[in-house]
Amino acid sequence: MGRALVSVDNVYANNLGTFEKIINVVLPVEYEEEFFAEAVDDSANGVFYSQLAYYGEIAIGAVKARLIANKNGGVLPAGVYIEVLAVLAAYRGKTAGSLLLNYIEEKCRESFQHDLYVHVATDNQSAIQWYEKKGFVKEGEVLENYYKDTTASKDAFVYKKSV
Amino acid sequence: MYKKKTLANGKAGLPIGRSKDDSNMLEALKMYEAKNYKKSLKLLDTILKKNSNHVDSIILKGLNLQVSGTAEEAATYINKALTKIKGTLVSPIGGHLLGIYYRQVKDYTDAVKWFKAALDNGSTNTQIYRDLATLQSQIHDYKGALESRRNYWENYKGYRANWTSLAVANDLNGHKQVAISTLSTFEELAEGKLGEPEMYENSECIMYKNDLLYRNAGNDKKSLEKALEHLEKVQDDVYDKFGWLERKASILMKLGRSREASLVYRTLIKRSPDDFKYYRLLEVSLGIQGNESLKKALYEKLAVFYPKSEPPKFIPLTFIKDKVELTKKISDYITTQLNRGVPATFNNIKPLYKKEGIPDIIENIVLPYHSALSPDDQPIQFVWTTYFLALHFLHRKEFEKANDYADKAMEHTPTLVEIYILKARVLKHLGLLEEAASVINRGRELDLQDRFINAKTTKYMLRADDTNEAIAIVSLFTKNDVNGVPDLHLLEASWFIVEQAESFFRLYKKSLKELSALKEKDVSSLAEEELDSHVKLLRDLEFNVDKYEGLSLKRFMALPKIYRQFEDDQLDFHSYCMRKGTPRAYLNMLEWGNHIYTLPMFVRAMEGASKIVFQRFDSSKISNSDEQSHDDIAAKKKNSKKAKKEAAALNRMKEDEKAECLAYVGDKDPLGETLLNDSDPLGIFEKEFLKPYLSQATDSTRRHLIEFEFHLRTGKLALALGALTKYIKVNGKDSVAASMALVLLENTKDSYLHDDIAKKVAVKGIEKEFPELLSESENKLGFVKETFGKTLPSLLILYRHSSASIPEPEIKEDIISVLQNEEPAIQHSVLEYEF
Repeated sequence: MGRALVSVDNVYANNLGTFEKIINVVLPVEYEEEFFAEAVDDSANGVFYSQLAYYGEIAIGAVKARLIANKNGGVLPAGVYIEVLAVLAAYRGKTAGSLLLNYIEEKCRESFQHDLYVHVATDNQSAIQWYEKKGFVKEGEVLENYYKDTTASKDAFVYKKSV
Repeated sequence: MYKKKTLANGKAGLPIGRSKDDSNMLEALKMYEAKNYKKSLKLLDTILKKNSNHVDSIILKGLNLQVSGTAEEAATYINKALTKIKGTLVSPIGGHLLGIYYRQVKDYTDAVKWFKAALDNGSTNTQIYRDLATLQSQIHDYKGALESRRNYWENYKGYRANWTSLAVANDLNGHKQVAISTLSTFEELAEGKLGEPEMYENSECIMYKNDLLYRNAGNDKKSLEKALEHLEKVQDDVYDKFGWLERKASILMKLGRSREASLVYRTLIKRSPDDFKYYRLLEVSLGIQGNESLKKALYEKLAVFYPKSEPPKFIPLTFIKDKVELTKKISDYITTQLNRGVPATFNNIKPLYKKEGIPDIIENIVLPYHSALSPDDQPIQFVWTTYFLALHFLHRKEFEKANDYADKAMEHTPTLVEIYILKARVLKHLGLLEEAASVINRGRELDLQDRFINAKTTKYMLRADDTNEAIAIVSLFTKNDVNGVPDLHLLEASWFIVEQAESFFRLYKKSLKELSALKEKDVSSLAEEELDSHVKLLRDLEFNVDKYEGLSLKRFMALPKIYRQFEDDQLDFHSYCMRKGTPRAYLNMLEWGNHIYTLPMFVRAMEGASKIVFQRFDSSKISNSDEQSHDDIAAKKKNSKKAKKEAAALNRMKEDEKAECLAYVGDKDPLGETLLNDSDPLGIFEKEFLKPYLSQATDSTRRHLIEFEFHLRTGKLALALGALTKYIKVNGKDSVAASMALVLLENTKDSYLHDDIAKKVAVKGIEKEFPELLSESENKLGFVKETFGKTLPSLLILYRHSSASIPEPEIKEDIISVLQNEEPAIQHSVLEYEF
C-alpha cells in the first residue's frame, strides 16, 4: 500500500451521508439535519472544521468543530469547540481519533486560538479517558441536562486543552 | 459532404437538349445543396406552376420538404412523383434524388432500387456505386454489393480503401481466393510506397489477408503451411501482437506441431498472465488435459513464475479430485484472499460452487476462520469475511442466515456501501421489495456521486414499484435533473426502460385487482354521498389501469426502436471501416449485427410486451359483462353537472400525467393509449418484436413458447405445432411440451374458430409427438400432470389457457402447491401478478 493505512480527508456535500452515518451510529445524541448540512455549506453561519477519517478505503471516523470568536458573553468562551468526534467502535485504537484531533489542533493554530473545548457525557468513561490522555483537563462543574435528545446520560463535563 | 460532389458530377450525364425547366431545376438543386431549402422550394414551385408534370422537380421538392422536417408532406410529393414514373424509368438525376430520399427515410431497399435506376438510366456519376454498395451491404445484399464495389474500384483504383472493400465483398460472397489475390495485388503495387501514417491500416489489412489464408486453408496442410509462411513474413509489420501470436499458435496446432504451439502459448501467458484462456490452450497444446498429476505440476510451476496472477492458483481447484488435497488448496486460496481483505473473494471462488460438495467444503473452511477473527484487531478481515459468508448463504438460498451475516457486517462497518447492496439483495430474495429498496437507498446516501449505486437504487425502487422515487433518483445523474426519462430514452438506457415497463405492468395488475374488488362491492345500500366517492374512486382506478397498461406497453415498445437504431448505426461503417482500413473489426461488427435481436434485453422486452398484447387480444374476443354494470352507474350520473366537472378534472389529470410521463420530445401518445387501442395488437407485436427476433434466432436459443402462444392466437395452428416440435427437439418431451400439446389440442375443438385444415394438421402433429394424449380420452389433464410432472412453467401455460376441460381452480391449486418449493421472491411474483 502506497499510502498510510489511516488517513483523514475533507467532507463534501456528496459524502455528507457517510459523515452523518458515523456520527449517528457512534453517538447516542440525536442531531438535527441542519447540524450536518452546515459542515459543507459555505454560506452557513459560522466557521466549521470537519473531517472524515479513513481506514484504508473505509470511512471510520468523523469530527466537526466550530470556531467561537465571540468574546461578549454567551455560554461558550472564545476558542475552538469540538462539537463531535466519533470513531466506529471496531476501528478504535488505530490512531484515527488522534489524526482527527491533530487536524482540529492544527486549525486552532491557523486561527490563532489557544483554547480547545469539548463536552463529554458524564457516563462516557472511554471518552473521558481518551481526552485526558490527549491532554484535556476537566473545567468547572457538571453541566446538568446538557444533552436533550440522547439515550445516554444527559449531564456533561466540559474539557479544555490549551494549544 | 459527398452530395455536393456527386450532384455536380451528375450534371454531366444529362441529355444535351435540356429544357428551361431542367435548368431551373438544376438551379434549385444547387440551392438544395447549399441548404437553402426555402429558396429551393420557391424556385421549384414556379417550375411546377408552369409544368406540374416535371418529375425531377417534384422529387426535389419532396426531398427539400423531408430535410426541412415535414416528413408527411414530403411523402405525398414523392408518391406523386412515383405515379408519374413508369417502372424505374427516371432521369439519372431523378433516380439519384429518389435514392437519397429513401436513404434519408431509412428505406434502404428502395434506396438501392433507385440508385440502381439512376445508373441504369445513364448516370455517369460513378460516386453512386459507393453509396449503392454501402446500402446493399446494410441490407445484406452482398452479391449486389460486390458488383457495386467492383464498379467503384474500377473507377478509383488509387485508393487502398477500394481494394480492401472489394476484397471484403468477395469474402462475404465466399470468394476467399479472389479476395486474397485482390489484397496481394495491391500489396505489390504499394510495395515500398507506404508512409508512416498508413502503417496501421497496412497492419490490419495484412492480418486480414492472413485471416483469409487461414480460413481458406481449412485443414489442408499445404495451405496452412503457406498461411504460416505468410504470417512469419509479415511479423514486423503487424501491430496486433496478440492476434499474431494467437494465429501462429492455431496454425501450429492444426499442423500437429503442438510442441511449437505450446511455446507460443507460453509467450502469450507471459504477455498476459491473467488471461485464463491461454492457460487452457497451453494444456491442450501439451496434451495433458486428462492427466491430473501433470497438470498439477504445470500449474505449480506457473504459479512460481507468475505469483501475482490468478489463473495458476485457481485452475487447479477445478480439476483436483482428492478431497483432502482439494480442501487444503481451497483453504489456502480463500484464506490468502480473506487475510488481505479482498472484497471479491466470493466472486472469485463462485465458479466452483457448481460442483457438488464444494459449498460444504467452503463453509467448513470459512466458518471457523470467521469465528477466530477479532472484530477489533482485524476489522478489515472481519468485515469482508462476514460479507463473504452472507454471500455464501445467499448463494445456498439460506436467506435468514445470509441476512444475519449482512446485519453483522453492517453493524461492524456501517459505512461500506457493498454491505447495503448485499443486504438489499438478500431482502429482495426474501420477497421484501420495499425494505430492500429502502436499505439500498440508505447505502446510496453515503456517497451521492457513486453512479453504480445510484443505478442500483433506481432499479430496486422500480422493483418495489415506487416509480416516482426511482425517477427522482435516476434523474440526479441525467442531463435533465427533474425528469430524466426522456434523457434515458435518448441514451438508450434499456435497463431502465425495461425495468420501468415491468414496474408499470405490475402496477397495472395491482390496479386491476383493486378495480375488480371495488366493482364487486355492493353499491345498492350506499348513501348518495358514499356513492359519489365510490364512483370517483372507480373512475380514478380505471384511469390508472389504462394508464399503467399503456405506459408499460409504451416502454416495452421503446426497445425495438433502440435495437433498430443499433442496426441502423452500422450504415456508416460500411464505408468508414474501409477508409480506416479495419476490415477485421468490420467483419466482427457484421457478425454482431446478426445477433442483436436475440440479445437478452430485447427478448425480455418481447416477453413483457407479449403478456400485454396477448391479454389484450384475448379479452377483445370475450365481451365483458362486468363493464356493463359499471356503465349503468356511470349512466345514472351522466347528466348531472357534477359529472361534467368530474370529467373535466379527469381530463386535467390526464394532461398532467402526459407531461410527466413523456419519453420522447414531441411524442403525441405519451401514455401509450393509441398503441394500446390499436385494432391489430398482434400485428404490431409481430412487426416490432417477433419478426426481427425470428430472423436472427437460432433453433437452440429460440423462445418457442412465445412463438407458440403467438400462433395460437393468429390461428395458424400448423405454425404453433411447428414451435412445439422445435421445442421438443431442443428440450425433449418435458412437462412444458406436454402442456403445450394439451393446449394446442384444446384449440382444435369445435368451440374454437380456427381453420379446419389447420386443426387437422395440429391433431396429426400431436398424434406423432404425444400419441397417448389422443388415445387417453377421459382425463387428458390428469394424464399430462401425472406423466410429465407438475412444474411451475408448465402449470402457468395451462393456467393461461384454462377452459372447461382445463379448469382454472384446479390449476391454481396445483400452482400454489408447487410454489411452496420456490423461493419467496418467486412465490410473491406469481401470486401477485399471474392470477
